[in-house]
Amino acid sequence: MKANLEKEGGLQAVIVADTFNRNFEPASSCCSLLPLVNVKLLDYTLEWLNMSGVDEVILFCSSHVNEIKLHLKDKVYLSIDVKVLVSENCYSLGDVMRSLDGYAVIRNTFILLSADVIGNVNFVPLVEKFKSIQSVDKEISMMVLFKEVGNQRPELHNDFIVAHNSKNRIIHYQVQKSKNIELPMEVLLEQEFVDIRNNLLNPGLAICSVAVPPLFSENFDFQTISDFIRGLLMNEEILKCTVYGEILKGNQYVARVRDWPMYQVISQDIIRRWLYPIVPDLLDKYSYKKNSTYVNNATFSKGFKLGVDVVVGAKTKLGKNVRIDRSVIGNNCTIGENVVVENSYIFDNVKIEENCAVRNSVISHTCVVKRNSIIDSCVIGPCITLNAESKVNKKSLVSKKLTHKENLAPFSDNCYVYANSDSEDEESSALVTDWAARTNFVYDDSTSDSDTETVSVDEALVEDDDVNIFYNEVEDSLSRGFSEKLQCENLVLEVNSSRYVYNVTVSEVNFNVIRAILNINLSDAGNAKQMWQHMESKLKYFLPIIRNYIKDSRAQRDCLAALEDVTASYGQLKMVLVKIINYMYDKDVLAEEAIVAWYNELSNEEIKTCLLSFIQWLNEAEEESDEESD
Amino acid sequence: MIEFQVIVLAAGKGSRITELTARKPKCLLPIGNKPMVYYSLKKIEKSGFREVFLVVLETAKSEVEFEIEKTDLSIKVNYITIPSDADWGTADSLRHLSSYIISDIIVVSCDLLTTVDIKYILNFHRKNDASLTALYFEPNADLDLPFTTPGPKSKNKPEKDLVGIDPSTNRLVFLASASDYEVELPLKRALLHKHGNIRIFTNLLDAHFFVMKKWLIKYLTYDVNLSTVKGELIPFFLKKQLSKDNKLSSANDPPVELTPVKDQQEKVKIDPFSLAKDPDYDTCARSMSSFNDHHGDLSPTYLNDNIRCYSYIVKDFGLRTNTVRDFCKANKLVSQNWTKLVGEELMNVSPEATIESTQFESETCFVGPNTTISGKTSIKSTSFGSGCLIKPKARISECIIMNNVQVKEGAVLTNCIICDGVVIEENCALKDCLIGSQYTIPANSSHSNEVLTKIENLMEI
Repeated sequence: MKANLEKEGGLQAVIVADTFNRNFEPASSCCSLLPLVNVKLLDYTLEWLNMSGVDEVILFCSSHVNEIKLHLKDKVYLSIDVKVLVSENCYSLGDVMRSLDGYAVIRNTFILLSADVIGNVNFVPLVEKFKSIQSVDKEISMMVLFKEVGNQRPELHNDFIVAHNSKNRIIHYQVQKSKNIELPMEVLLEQEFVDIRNNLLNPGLAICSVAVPPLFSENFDFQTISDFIRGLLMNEEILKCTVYGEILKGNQYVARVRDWPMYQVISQDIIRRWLYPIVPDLLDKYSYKKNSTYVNNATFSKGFKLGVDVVVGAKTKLGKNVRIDRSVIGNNCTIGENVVVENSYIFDNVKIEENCAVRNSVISHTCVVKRNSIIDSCVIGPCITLNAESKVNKKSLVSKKLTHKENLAPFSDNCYVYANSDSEDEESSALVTDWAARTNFVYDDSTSDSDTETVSVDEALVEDDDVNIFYNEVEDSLSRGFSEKLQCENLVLEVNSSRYVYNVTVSEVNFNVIRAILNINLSDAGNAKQMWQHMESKLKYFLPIIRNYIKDSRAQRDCLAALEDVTASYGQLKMVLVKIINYMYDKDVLAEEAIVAWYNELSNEEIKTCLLSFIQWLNEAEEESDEESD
Repeated sequence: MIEFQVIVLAAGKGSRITELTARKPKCLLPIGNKPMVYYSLKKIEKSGFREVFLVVLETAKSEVEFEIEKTDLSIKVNYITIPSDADWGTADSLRHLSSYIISDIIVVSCDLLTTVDIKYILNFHRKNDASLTALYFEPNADLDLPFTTPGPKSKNKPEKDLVGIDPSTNRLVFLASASDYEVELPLKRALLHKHGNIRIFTNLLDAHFFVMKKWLIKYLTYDVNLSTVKGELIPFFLKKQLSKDNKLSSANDPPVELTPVKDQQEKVKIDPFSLAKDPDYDTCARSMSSFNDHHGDLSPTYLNDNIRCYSYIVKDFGLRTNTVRDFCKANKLVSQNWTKLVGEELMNVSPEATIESTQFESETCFVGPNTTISGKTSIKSTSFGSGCLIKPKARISECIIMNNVQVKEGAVLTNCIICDGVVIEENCALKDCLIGSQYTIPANSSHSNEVLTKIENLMEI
């Protein structure tokens, strides 16, 4: 099986590093680098892909790029090749897929997952299954992987309902908002039987065909995988695509660290070794002891007591009579005498002084909790010092240094209250550990009314970004125009109409049009020469459009900003950047003053060095012409 | 004490096959030369029951009794008659005989033809300690025969049932007819909270075979609004199954005072949950046992429900003879499946019949007593009732011929149903026709895809 895949250039996986939500703030703003049982989330994902038959990983970042690159710098994976792609204008999974389509790096069937998904499933048989379905149903575009869970554990649910037929083809997908589930009769009667499932977990993991990124590009309203599935089902006749589901059972573990409750559930699962072979003692130098406790080179003092499910990180010092139960303590922590830690997650470099009690809480890295404090049901952001004798209950705190948010109530001299969890939705902002209360989920008619107002996480976070949609439309029309050699005047009309639909400013129009022109078929080119040929043909063709928009000095500034933006996200463009600018200069699109002014303000040193000789030449030419005129 | 009492419902008027039931009760229509009801009764007899209640229409009782006595059945048949003019549903019939019910019951329809062993259904019912178990057939490729239905061509599509079950436990959770919904099928969210996976079948055949707890019949006597079993009684209890009141009371709860008599006098609706309540010792045993019927959550056995409806789905041979097409199909399939259906050797040609024909395929034909088939005839895949007379030079294939039919010289019959007392004169050619009883086809006439019947037969309908 493996040999087959290798023939086709290896199995690719796309990890979307950004989760486009703020569920773990203030503890960590970058979900992929959130520590889970003392290992970064991204490392679990990469480790899993490394051992499950994937050859190449494309890590797609749109924020915290430098942190992620720094983190990956000294990681070595045996069989996978990790490629980092950056696009900073992505606000949803849909945007990521659209820009992935632009990069054109997908060669074959690939695995799509987000960095917060962890598991131990081997992908090779699943990809084989995908291909065997593909040989029967050519229209298959995606196979979504679901995990079967008990239907009475609501904290695991995404609150969705999926219906599939006997061949596992998804025929109905409904995000549960209404009281009733409405199954279209027409589709139902075509099937022998339909399985309607409410007992599944959607970890955000899918096997996709090469057709998926273009589908996202064609349908700019697809923001999430849910949108994708619903969109395809709704327009089945037009799009000619089918979606299948695969239900993972038994020891195949997949889950998504979506929010704090899931964080807690998955931490417990890791500690209880459900993800074997991804367990602390195989990922790091932990020794695995009785009662599911893991210790890594920690210093203990007299009278300590470790309960069940405890992980203590490296170089951590525990004082006398420390009591820890169902908790994870990070590396380099110092826990003072008589401290009690229960149901809590303490990240690296935290200092807890004597006689403190920490319960049901998360304490982010480099915090100091001074003596005699009591912390219950809290999320404490990084680098916070809590004074002695403080009592914090049901709050999440953020350090003053690390937040740009205004209007936050100060808690102490160095931190704000980020959110009071008792006033907000408890599920998302704080740990709720009373399992008894959570499992007591009533499925009675009368009580379900109150649930109807909760909107799923996915939906609530997707905000339509008009400029972004505008950009996609422009790119679509221009690339279509380019391939079909349409009249440029007509394309200008199209762009202008999009502009009025999305109410975009002049400067944004200029910026996005140039960006779109540069991005079209960008990745097709190979070396510098080919790239320039490609660019030249594009510029030549689009010159009327460029001239139409780039008229005054302000527009020239937008144009250069677009060039800078595209070059920053697509490094290879540097090779031909000089030529592009030169071309525009020759064609009188850009004036030298504008170029020089832009150059002087450039912050990106790499681009600057590329342009150095050109700018020198420009300056010289200027002098020469000055001389000539003399 | 006996565990189950069996009730065979044979008072159906055959409203979907009026052409055939004008002069004959539906339960006596011949399949393989035996009255339809014979197969249900035989199945029950072979399963070891010694007694059965047979519900028949008042007017048809003597005729049914006469026909059954002619067969080899040894089971004791208790006839329960219901008034012919009242349009009673199946549940009404059950209510009518409720005074005879002393144990749990099995309800069988007279038009059921199946090879399923009742024993397995009963074991399934016992295992789940079910309130109600319904039998369904999965479509079976062996039963798909390509043939034309006699009579005028119609495009009536068979009605589809939507049967929803929980595949992990086979619990029946939803039942409706596809024609009840136009665009969308609404399902209650509460239902999906209770059963994480619901499988809705669209292609199952309802066998109309039910095993029921005694208390259901008791409830029927209080609630006179329920008229049919499939259409009203089961949906009613499926709804009650989902209700939040459908909870086993724990052994510590004070015992519920059960005073149905008083309720009845005060015209207060009786609560089915108190009737359904499992005996305390069952509840107690269940709480002490480690048995659970499902996995994936922490809820107790049977989700703590008092009312529990189940479906038993099999892929065996199963047919319901309630349309002309199914009636033909049953006749075509009966000879090859005879031993499995009846459990005895097939004796398809009566010793009292006279067969002079040389071109007579005895394996595929049934011949009743006192029927004469003359020489120089060609007979294939046809069943003849008693007292028929087939003259020479007749050619008959794929036909169902009932009693006292005369076929004169040179008639050619293909794929026809011919009712009692029909006379077919010389040189008639009939193809895919349905001939009502006592009708005479004049000589040299030729018909295809028609229903030929006497006007007064139609008037009766």
